[in-house]
Amino acid sequence: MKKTLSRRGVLASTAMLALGLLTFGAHQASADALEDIAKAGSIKVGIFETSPPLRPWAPT
Amino acid sequence: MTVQGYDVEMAEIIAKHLGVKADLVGITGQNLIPSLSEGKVDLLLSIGFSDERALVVDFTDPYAPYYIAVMGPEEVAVANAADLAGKTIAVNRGTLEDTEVTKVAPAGADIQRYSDYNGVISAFLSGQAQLMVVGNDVGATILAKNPAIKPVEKFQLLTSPSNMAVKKGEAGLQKKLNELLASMRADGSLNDLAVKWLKAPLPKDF
Repeated sequence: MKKTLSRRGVLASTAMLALGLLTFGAHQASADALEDIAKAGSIKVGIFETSPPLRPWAPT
Repeated sequence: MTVQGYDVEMAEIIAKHLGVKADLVGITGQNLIPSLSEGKVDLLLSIGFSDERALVVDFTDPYAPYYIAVMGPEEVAVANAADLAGKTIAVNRGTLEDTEVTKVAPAGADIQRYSDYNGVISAFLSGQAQLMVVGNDVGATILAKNPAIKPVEKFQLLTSPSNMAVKKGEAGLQKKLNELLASMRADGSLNDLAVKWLKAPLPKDF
């Protein structure tokens, strides 16, 4: 019996591959940030420089 | 001079939670999102949530209350926007406070606009303006520096809690921060931070 790949089948496979890559990518990104912070030994925290010491006047 | 305050202390708490040191990076409104997307910072503090921003950054849960209020001496009777008629009101020109009070002020309200918060505070403390429109953090600063003045909150104009933001897709860091905030809400330390720096407890629904 000859097997053929349907158009729907190809699309479904492509979608699953893309989803897998996206999931993997997101996982990698989340691991990277925490790993980078741990490696650096510090976390760079953005604070408004135009604010007085208390805290920024308002969320922008 | 050692810089200190709500955000500085929060940054130190976050760093401790992650087992690292806090490296504070000064930012401005202009380089807010780019500083995150370009990797100049790992985390932004005091950023208000918006659907538009949520497309490019990931937000944590709120970590600080923020609202804008009309404040003034106890003896000045003001309960709502209509009562602003005939009153002099100091505000920082072009800020969210300016926009909000201008929206609701009735004819006859004298809105005096200053170029910075020092001008607003000076006008209020000297009696040049009867009322001022400021954020809860500015009100707390005035209370801390001038305990005898005790401006009273007349009514709120806008509530917009402060969030943190991480780079889009940094789900691991976002989760760690939300876990920290949940534990701080549970053990009361987030409330302690609000009382210490903002001179008021967290709202009940925070």
